[in-house]
Amino acid sequence: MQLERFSLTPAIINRILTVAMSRGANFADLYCEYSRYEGLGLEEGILKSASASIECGAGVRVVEGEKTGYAYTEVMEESHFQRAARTAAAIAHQGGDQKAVQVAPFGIGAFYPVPDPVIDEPMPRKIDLIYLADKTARAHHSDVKQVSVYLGTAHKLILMADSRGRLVQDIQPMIRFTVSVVVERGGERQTAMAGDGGRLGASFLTRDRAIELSKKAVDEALLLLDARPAPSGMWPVILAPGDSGILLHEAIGHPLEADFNRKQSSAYANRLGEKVADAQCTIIDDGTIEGDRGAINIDDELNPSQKTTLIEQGRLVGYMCDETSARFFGVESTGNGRRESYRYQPIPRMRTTYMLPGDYDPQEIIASTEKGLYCKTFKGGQVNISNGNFTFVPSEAYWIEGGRVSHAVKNCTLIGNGPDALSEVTMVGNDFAISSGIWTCGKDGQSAPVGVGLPTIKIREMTVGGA
Amino acid sequence: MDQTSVKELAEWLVERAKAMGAETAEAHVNHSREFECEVRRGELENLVEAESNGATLTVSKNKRRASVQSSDTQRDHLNSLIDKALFLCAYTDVDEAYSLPPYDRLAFDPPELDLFDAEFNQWDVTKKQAFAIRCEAAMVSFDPRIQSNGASFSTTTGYSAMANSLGFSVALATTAGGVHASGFAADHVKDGDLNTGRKQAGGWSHQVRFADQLPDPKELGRMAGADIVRLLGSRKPKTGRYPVFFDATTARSLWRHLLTAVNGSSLYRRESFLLDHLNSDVASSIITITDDPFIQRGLASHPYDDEGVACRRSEIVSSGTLNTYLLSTYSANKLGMTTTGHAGGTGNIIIQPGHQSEAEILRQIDHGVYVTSLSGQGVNISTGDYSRGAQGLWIERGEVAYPIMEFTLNGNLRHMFKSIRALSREVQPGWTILTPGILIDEMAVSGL
Repeated sequence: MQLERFSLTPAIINRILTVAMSRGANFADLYCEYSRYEGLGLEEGILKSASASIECGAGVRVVEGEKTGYAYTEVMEESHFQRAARTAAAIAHQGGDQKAVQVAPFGIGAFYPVPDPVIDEPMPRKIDLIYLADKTARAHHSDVKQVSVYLGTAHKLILMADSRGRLVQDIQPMIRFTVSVVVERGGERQTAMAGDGGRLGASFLTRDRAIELSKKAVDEALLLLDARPAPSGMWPVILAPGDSGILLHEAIGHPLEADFNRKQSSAYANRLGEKVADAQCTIIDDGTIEGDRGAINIDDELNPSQKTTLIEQGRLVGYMCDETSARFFGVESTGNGRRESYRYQPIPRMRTTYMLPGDYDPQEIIASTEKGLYCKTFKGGQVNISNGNFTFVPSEAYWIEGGRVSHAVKNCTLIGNGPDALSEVTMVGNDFAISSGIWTCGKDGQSAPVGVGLPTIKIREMTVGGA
Repeated sequence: MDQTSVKELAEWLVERAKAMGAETAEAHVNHSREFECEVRRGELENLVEAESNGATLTVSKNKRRASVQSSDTQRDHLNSLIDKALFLCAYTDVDEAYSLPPYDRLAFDPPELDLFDAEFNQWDVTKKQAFAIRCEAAMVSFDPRIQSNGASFSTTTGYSAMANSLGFSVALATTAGGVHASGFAADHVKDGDLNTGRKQAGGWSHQVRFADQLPDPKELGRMAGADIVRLLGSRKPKTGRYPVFFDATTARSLWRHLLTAVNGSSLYRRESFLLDHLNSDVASSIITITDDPFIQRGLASHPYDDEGVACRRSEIVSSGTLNTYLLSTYSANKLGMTTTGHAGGTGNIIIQPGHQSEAEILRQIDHGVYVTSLSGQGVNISTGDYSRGAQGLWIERGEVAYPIMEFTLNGNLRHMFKSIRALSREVQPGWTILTPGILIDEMAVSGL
C-alpha cells in the first residue's frame, strides 16, 4: 500500500479515525486520492493540446444517522487530517465513548485488466493512433470538414480506511478515446461522435479500433445529412441492443438510488415488492463487469462491488444503497456508494445497468411493427426522479414502415414515464449487448463513469418529439 | 494563501517555466475556502468545509504548447510539473494561431468591482444554518402537501491570480453565497395509472456576492413552495403547434445556446448555426443583449478575462443584429480578428425587458404552453436543431388552465430567436443571465 504517498501510517490513520468518532458517530471514513490525468487532443489535423494534471487530497466523513459532516484537505500532513476530522465530527452529538479505531487491510475484487494506463503505452504510439483516426475520417468521405480526436487516460490511486477497521487501496484506471466529425454538403452541416473506453490500459486501443471508430463517426454524420425530420406524437419505439440501455439508466436507475427513496422523493419510494415493469424485465446494476466503465473493485466507502438485482421479472426487489441509506433501511450496502473525488461525499450511484435478454428474435420484433421509431445510438438522457418522466435523445435513429427499417430521422427527443414505459415493454429480444459508449452520469454536481446494456426491446407506445 | 501569495506563486511559475526553457508561459493560481450546510426537517443534515488550491500552467516552445494542472501548490512539486509541461511540448505540433494576448489589451489598470464581502466570512455556522431553516420552513408552510428535500446555504471565498511571460500579473478576491430550497408533494394519480408513486418536485435558488444581497428567506421559501404546488395535477398535452412562453428560468438556457453559437471556439470549428452572421439579424428586432462585466457586486462581474485581457461592456445583439463574436486570443487569431476579452466566458448578460407584464403577454395566447423546466441533450449548436423534454403550464384563453408534463418542444434555434414575439417586464434577479420571460410564436409540441 502506498501509505507514504499521503504521509500516513496505520497508527496515524487510527488516530484520525478515533478523532472522527470522538463525538459518538455511527461511522467515519477517510478517503485519500492521488489521481493523474493525461490528455492529447487533435484538431484541424494537428496535435494541438497535451495536458497533464494531478489531484491529491483527502477527506474525512463522519455519519450519525442521516447526518453527515465532511471536510477535506490538500495538505498531506497529520495536523491537517486531524483538523478535517474535528470539523467533520462536529455533526455528531451522541457523546463519544472514545473507543480507539484499529484498521487492518480488507480484501477487494479485481475487475480492471490493466493497472497503469498512463505508462503502459509510449507517447509516440498514442499519438500515431490519434493521427490514424484523423486520416481515416478524412479519407473516408470528401464531405468531412473537421475532425477532432481526443485520448484521455486516468490513473486514480485511492486509499480508504473506516471506523469498522477496514483499510483498502485501489488503483482505478480509465481510458477514453473519442472521434468527432463535422460534415458539410450543399450548405448543410452535421456532427457526430464515436468513442470507446473503460477501466483499461491504452494498449486496449488497437489500430483497427481507431479506424472503426473514425468511420463510425463519419457514417453517422453522413446519415444525418440525409435524415428526415422525425414525426410527432405517440408511436411504438424499438430500442437496439447496447447503447439503448440509457433508457434503463434514466427510467429506472436514478429513481432506484436509495437516497431518493430514503428521502421519499422518488416515484418508487415505499414500493419494494410491487410490480413496476412487464414480467419480461429483469434489471441489474453490476460493478463487476471486467474493464467496463462502470466496474469498481470496491465502492468509495469500503463496501465490496457486487451485482445487484433491482427488478426481477417486473417486480421491484431492491434499491441501490450507499452506507447511509443501507443503515437507514436496515440492509447491507449494495456497494453503490461512489464519489467523483475527495472533494465530494459518496452518494448512491449506478455502475453498469442492464436488462437481461428475453425470448424474441430481434428481426421478429421489428417485423411486428407497422410504424414506429427504431433507435440505435444516443446522445444522452435525463430524468425527473419524482414524477418519473425521463427524456432520451437518439443520435442514430430510423423510421419503421411496414415492419421494415426505412429512412433515418433526426432532431427528436423521446419522452416517457418510467413506470409507464417499463410496463409497456411488449417484447424483449434474445440478443444483448453492453454499450461500448463512454457514458458519464451527473448527479448533485458529481460526475461518475457508468455503463449501460440492453437487448432489443419494444415499447408499445411513447411520445416521439419530432417536427 | 491570500491575494498576495496566489499572485506571487503565479509569477514564480512563469519565471521558473521561462528559466527552464519555455518561450511563453501563462499561469493561474487559486485558493478557495468552501462551506456548505444543508438542513432537512428543521435539522442540520450535512456540513461541508474545505480549503482547496489549484495551479495551472500553459507553456509553449516554437508554437508548440502543453498545459499542466495540480492541486498541490508546493514549489518542489510544481518544479516537476513544469518539467512535465516542457516534456509534453515536444510532442505537440506547431500551431501558428497560438499566442499570448496582445500586450496593449491586457488589463494593467483593472476597475474595482466590489466583489469581496468581508462580512460573509464573519457569519458563523449557526447563522447560516438558521437562514436555511427559515427558507425550508417557509417552503413547507406554503402548502400542507409539501415535503422537504432540504434547504442549503453555501459560501465560497476565493483568491485567484494569473500571470504571463509578457510581464503581466494580476489577482482578485471574491466571495459568493448561495441559498437553495427544494421539496416535493404527492401528485394526484387517476385510476389505472401505473405511476402510483408520482410526486412533483420543485425548488428555488438564489446566488449573491454579498451577505446584504441575500433574499428574504420567507420569500425564497415561498417561491420554492409555489414552484412545487403549481405542478400538481399535471397532465400530458395534445400534440400540435402552439405559441410557447419560456419563463425566466428556462429562457436563460436559450440565451446560453445563443452565446455558445457566437463563441469563437464554436465558430472556428464550424460548429455553430450562426457562422458568418456578424452584423446580420440573429434574433427578432425586440432583442437587445448586453454583456456587462462591470456591474458592482455582480455575480458574473470580472475586470479581465481568463487571459488577463481587459473586459469591456458591449451590446452583443442590438435590436436583433449581432454586433460581435465572443473571442479569446486563440479563436480571434483563427478567425483573423482581435480578442474581445471573452476567454472563459461573458460577464453579466442582460436581456432588455419588454413593456408588458407576464400576465398581459399570456392574455394574448389562445392555446399555448408556459415552460417551467426543460430536460435532455437535444440541442445541436452546429445546426440549431432543438428538441427537448419539458414541463410547465397549459394556457387557455389567456389564462393558466392546468399544469402539463411529459411533452417535448421542437424547433430550430435560428428560427426560434427570430420569432420571439414578446418579452415580459419582470426580470428575475440572482443569476448571471438577467432575462425576462420570452414568448416564441410557435413550436412543435409533442404529447398525446
